[in-house]
Amino acid sequence: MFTAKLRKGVLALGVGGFVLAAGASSFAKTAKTPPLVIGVEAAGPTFTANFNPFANQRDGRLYIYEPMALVNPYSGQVTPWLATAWHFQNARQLRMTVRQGVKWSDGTPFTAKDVAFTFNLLKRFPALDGADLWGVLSSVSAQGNTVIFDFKKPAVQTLTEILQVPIVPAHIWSHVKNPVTWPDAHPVGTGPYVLQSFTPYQYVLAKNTHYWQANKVQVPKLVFPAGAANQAAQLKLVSGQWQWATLFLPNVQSTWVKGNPYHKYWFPGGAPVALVLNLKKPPFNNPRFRQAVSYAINRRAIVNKAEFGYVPPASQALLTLPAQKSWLNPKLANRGYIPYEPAKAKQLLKSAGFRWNAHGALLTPSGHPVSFTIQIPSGWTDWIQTSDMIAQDLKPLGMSVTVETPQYGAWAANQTNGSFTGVLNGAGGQPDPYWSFYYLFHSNTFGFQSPKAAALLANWNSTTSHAQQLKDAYQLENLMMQETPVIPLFYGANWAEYNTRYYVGWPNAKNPYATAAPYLQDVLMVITHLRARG
Amino acid sequence: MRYLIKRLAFLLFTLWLAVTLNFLIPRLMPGNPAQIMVQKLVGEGPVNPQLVRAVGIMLGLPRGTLWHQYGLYVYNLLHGNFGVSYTYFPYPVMTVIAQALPWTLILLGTTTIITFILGTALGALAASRRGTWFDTTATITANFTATFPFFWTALMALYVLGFVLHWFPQSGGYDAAMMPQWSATFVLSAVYHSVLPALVIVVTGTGGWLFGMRNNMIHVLGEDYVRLAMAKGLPRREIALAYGARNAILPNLTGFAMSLGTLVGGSILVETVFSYPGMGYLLFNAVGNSDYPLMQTIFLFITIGTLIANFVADILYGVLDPRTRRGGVSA
Repeated sequence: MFTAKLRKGVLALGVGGFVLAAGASSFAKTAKTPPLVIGVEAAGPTFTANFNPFANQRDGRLYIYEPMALVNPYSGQVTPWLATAWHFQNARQLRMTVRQGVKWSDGTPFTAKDVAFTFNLLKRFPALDGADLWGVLSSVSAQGNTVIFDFKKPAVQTLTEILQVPIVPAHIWSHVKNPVTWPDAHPVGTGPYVLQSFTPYQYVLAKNTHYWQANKVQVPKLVFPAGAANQAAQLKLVSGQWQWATLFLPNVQSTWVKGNPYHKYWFPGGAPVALVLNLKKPPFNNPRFRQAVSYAINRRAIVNKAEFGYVPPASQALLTLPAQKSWLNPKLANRGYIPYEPAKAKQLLKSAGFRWNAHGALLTPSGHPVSFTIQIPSGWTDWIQTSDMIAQDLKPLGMSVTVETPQYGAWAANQTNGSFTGVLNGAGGQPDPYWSFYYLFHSNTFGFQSPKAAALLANWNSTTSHAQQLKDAYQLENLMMQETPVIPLFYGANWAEYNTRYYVGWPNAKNPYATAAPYLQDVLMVITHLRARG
Repeated sequence: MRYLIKRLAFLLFTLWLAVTLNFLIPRLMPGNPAQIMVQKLVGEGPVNPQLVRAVGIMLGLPRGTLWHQYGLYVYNLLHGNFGVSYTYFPYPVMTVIAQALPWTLILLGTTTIITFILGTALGALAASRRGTWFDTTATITANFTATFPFFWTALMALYVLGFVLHWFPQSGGYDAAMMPQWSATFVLSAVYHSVLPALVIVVTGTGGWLFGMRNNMIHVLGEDYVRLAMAKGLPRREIALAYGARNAILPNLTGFAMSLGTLVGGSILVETVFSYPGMGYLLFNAVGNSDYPLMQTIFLFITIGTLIANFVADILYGVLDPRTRRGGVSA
């Protein structure tokens, strides 16, 4: 979804269909394990060397720095990585055992002290603390090969966030004056790759000979060319110059899959895209009104037309399904999917006291006509089409819905200021459903207030019993159904195309051990699963 | 002298105005740059408010009253400190620009001078030989090359010379595996990569100069004083150069000064089509990423460039055309 947006921006400029940018130098095609060329770096035409793992700049950093564990961005499933085990002593103390025999790529042994150092670095420099861990942490210290995390208050769910922090070597970073602005041009990490060469047009990572699971890494080199947002990206992918990319391709069957058995893709559905109504304004503050809107939307048609059928409709339960199905309340009717039932919508409106005037326009119980505007950032064409289709779906109910497309900045600011009636926005989509619910109910982004939800979240965050966590999740899902604070429409996709000519073992719908997108932390899972084609 | 002081005062006033507008405009735009930056990372998805907060601290977003910010802005400007680029974080804007500017100056500087000289010379020649086969050929050809959209010519050149014939690389400023440095192989690679864009600029750009010069000169050659010179029997060559060309070149010279002024902004079309690492592509990226510090600085450079070019053109005009110096006297 990331690159899709950038690509659309480029398309809109209309530069033309066949700009052929310079690619990676051609490598011998006869080799059994050629370098893997990854088209993910959108920066162009050139980029700067910045492998600082906290700066979110060069994607190659993901293959160099490793976290304590890998968290699947969709299912939340955890794979121990630099940590081998962890447990909560109580809801305020977490103890983590670090892996033995791991070395930094300069040969220095990795220890629990590096882990404690990294977390204390985030404390000293809040700009690095993207998950606001020190909002709940009180101290992090190393004891032998154990790292002890103490919390100010019960914060069991912070575990997922802690596990994902990239760990940096104390013997190098302790000498860095300002780690926030340090570009880290010669990165030293524990990961499977080291930086071999860098030019403003491309960089090459080579296998780290010190890697702790070196036997699992079969790709000797990774090449990252600049300009993945370029028009030429699709040509490069199709012509085989790139083997892994994240592109939105219309008609992926005919443009990519057809005619080549090695060309594969997987577009798993991630964070739900939802219709959000301003809950502070009537009649949108009426849950039955929101439910009626939900029943009146033909999600299947939207998915097929606006989203090319790439992603499934979303469940009202806020969970990312099917990846998070283990969290789903088994008692929810139809797994929380709201069917397209205009008749039911009408009946819900009637029961809530809404009426229709002689021209068929819907009136609120107090007699005002119902109209609202859906705002979408300009250029997000699939969302704009979605909103147009919603407006059409709601017309027979007598609602007048208009669609506006301000700039992204204005769209975001309007939501912060509450100056909107309706928007499309992402909701949920966190690997751990707790955080999906937390952001929706607690951070109060959309003006929804629920003491019940707050109590459930607090309980979830203070218990280490999975059974109790499930109970809390089930109740929050029930609340989602009853209150309908947002109306999920479909799951936003991660675009991922890969070429299986030289390497096999990629994630797919049948084996979803990771997302297939080359810009998320779980690329470490992918790269340790790829095998040379025999 | 009074003319010079007047022009100088005007230059300083417009410069201040431009700097102030440059300060105000991004602040009038809605939205939080940190949120925009995070959104670039996640795409069409939910934005984590905690990450936005951290990125806000990282970027060092401006705080304090507007006056305080303005004072700081002017102070930093005078010290050549333009802040940190959001897109190329943590590199300062100046570092990023210093990397892109030479490419643009060399490619566009050279081609602008070549197209100006070539176009003006051909235009003068066509005008002085009005109606001959040379005039006809030059005018018709220029008509074609100048009216084709630039990107069409560029894409055709790319397709034929780059993709089909493989005579030139299809994009980039130099070989992707090379690091910019002062070595013979690198310079050769850079020159080789710049031939195709340069060719396209010269082919599409010459026509405009040619027309301007030809039309002006035909007009001038119809003036009474030229007729007098002819009647007096001055050599054709002298009439064409000293009487015709010298007077006809004035508007073209202004145009030339202006195009040198806007040069620092690069050419977005040329540079995006050829993935050329210059200022145009930089500006394109800055706009696409809501990178206000970078955008502001590039706009400032363009403004300063244009103002100085205008100033120089004004002075030059004063030298070439005494009427401008005194002012108020109509031609």
